[in-house]
Amino acid sequence: MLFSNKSIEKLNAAFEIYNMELCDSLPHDYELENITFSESFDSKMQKLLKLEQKPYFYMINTVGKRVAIIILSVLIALTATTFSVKALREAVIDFITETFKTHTKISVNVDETPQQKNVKKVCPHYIPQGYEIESELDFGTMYRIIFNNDQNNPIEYNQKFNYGTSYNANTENIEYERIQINSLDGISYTKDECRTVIFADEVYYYTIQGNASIEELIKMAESIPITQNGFVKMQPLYIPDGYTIEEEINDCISIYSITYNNEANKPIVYDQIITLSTGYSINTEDAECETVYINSFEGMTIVKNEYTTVVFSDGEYYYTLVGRALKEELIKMAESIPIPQEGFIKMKPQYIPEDFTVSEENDNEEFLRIVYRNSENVPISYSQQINDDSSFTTDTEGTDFETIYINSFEGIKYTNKGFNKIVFGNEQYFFTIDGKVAMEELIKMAESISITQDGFKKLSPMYLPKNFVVYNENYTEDVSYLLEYRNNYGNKLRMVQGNNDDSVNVNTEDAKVENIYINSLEGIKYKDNNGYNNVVFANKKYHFIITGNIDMEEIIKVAESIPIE
Amino acid sequence: MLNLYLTLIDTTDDKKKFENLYYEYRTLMKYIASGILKDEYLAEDAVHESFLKLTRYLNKIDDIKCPKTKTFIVIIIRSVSLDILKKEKRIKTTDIEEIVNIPSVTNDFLENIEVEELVSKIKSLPDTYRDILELKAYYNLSDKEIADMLKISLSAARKRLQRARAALKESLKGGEEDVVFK
Repeated sequence: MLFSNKSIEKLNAAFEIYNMELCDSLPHDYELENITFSESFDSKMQKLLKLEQKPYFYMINTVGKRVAIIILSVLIALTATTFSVKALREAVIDFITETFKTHTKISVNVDETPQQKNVKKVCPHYIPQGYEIESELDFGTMYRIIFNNDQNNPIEYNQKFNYGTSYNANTENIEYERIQINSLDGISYTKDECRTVIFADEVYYYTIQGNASIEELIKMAESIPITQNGFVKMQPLYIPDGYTIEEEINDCISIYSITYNNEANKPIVYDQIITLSTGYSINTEDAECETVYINSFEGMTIVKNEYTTVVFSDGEYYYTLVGRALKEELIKMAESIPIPQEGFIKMKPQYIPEDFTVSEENDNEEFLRIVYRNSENVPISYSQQINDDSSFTTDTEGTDFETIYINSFEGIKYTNKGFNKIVFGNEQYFFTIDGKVAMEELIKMAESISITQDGFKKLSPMYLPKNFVVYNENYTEDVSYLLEYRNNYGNKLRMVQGNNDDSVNVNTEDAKVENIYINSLEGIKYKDNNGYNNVVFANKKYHFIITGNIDMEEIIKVAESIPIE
Repeated sequence: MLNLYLTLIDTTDDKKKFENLYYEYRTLMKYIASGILKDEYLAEDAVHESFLKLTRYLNKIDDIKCPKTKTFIVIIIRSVSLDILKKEKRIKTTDIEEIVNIPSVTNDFLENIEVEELVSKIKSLPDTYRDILELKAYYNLSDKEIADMLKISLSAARKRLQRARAALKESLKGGEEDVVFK
């Protein structure tokens, strides 16, 4: 007890008086009228004020727990057939709480209200003959496609959340049939010539309605790629030298786990765990815990004995890596998990002048600032901030500034009070670098920031076939992005993403070309002369060519996992 | 610092409250921040960061315009500004917790003190001590919340609280033992 209750009462009375006196001593509103704010501040604050309801998550203490995960996986495997997902999740929480209540607990408090999330869109791959997509509507919480044919017999497909709600179909006076779509329960019925198929997984309801035959509608339903039940698997694209996948566990609901091992038998365990309602624990006693940022997601490292754990969360999943490998290697693996990022993507100069190291780093959702210093304490300040269509203000009074181009982005350079400064920007961000170092060094730093051209957003698949890792990555100025993956068995997989401003030419000579839909985007698939399977598809902005000497199903799965908006 | 935090405000009432706070106090906050930081843009950074911080303490605020809220805002902006100043100027500070011994203090030393006297002693305390005492006793923040607000470790927050309390006691005694502040 710092103070007795009586003392607190007295202190409170004293603070009441003190506060009133303090407030009286502060300037009145009219005295503050001349205080103004910069445009960038206003815009920053307006965005903060307008923030939509977001899931807000916090982590209370720590992580890790391989044991818990294994038991958790077993628990899920044992119960998955009998529990609903909600019950299962509750079981998970209870289990963890009971077993580890003496330990610190990590939890992510995500608002489960489905209206606050967007549907992860999937659509039927099979469309009855003669049908084409007529319209596609994305309501955020619901996704709809209308297919139609020449006879104007539309088929409507809907995908919407099923959390905590029941689906009300008007089946009054109608006989419906229980059906199973890829082992998921559903019903089908006919009313006024209109046939309906409804089924659900743990996350969504899917309905297909139209006056095509029930068989056709069921065929469409069965072609919806919902193997992952809303859980989007992601695995590190970087694996330390000498490591291969030893084991892969995927319950399709809550956990995706990979064990990597090397010849020295020093396994690394990667877990991706859904955050909905789950919590888990690790005993952090005597552990060294540090905050880390993995591609701007906050997390932490825990070093205990010879084991290192890296854990972070994007709000939707926890990602953990545990092993006896170097902490830097685990962080590199964590950073290579292809989590689609929205909003502010931090970019840092890859080149830092000799003798300089990071001295401070601050960031928020719209701003990144890094101060580098050398051994003589000379600072270089770097900042990146959102280009929100407002102009960027920089104090160039009394200075001569020159226009420069940093990797083709326009900017200015000038010297003010002995500080050299560079300011430039693209459509998304403004960048500034300044310091009492040679202008050439600042330019070199600026040029080393890996800014993509004209908003070209590099996209990489979130699904990779087993044992594939990144072999080559290349981004060229003619705006195409190439990613090559290989496994240990000589299989290759390549993805090319290009701007969709020209037609795409692919060699389909002698090949049997079939039309397909990748997440409702039109495309083709074929086997080329070299025996490689190919999928080519495009949206309005980009085209994608995915090629590999692996099964076509795997190529399609890779294509479907590219996070295209 | 184990308490990770993303964003932000999750009820409509809180959003409204936040907005009202912003329009009520932003100029005052910039005024205070500018006084400490002597730099327009850094002051704006401080205001922005303070509002981000404030999102976590909206439950401590009832009436937007009362002195209690105003003082709370003053404590936040002052603390954030000083933190920025420390970073900007790279002020070499020795944490006060490291250089002051904690005199032992009995619990009831305030019981026989008049409120008026207490007010004057509170005023004479350094900001660091007065703020932490007020956050604890008046705003009822937990040690963890205080540590988060003042950007110090939990143990430093606890030590500072003990020392603030000891300093208050010394001050009430007539300041026989000087406390060293840096």
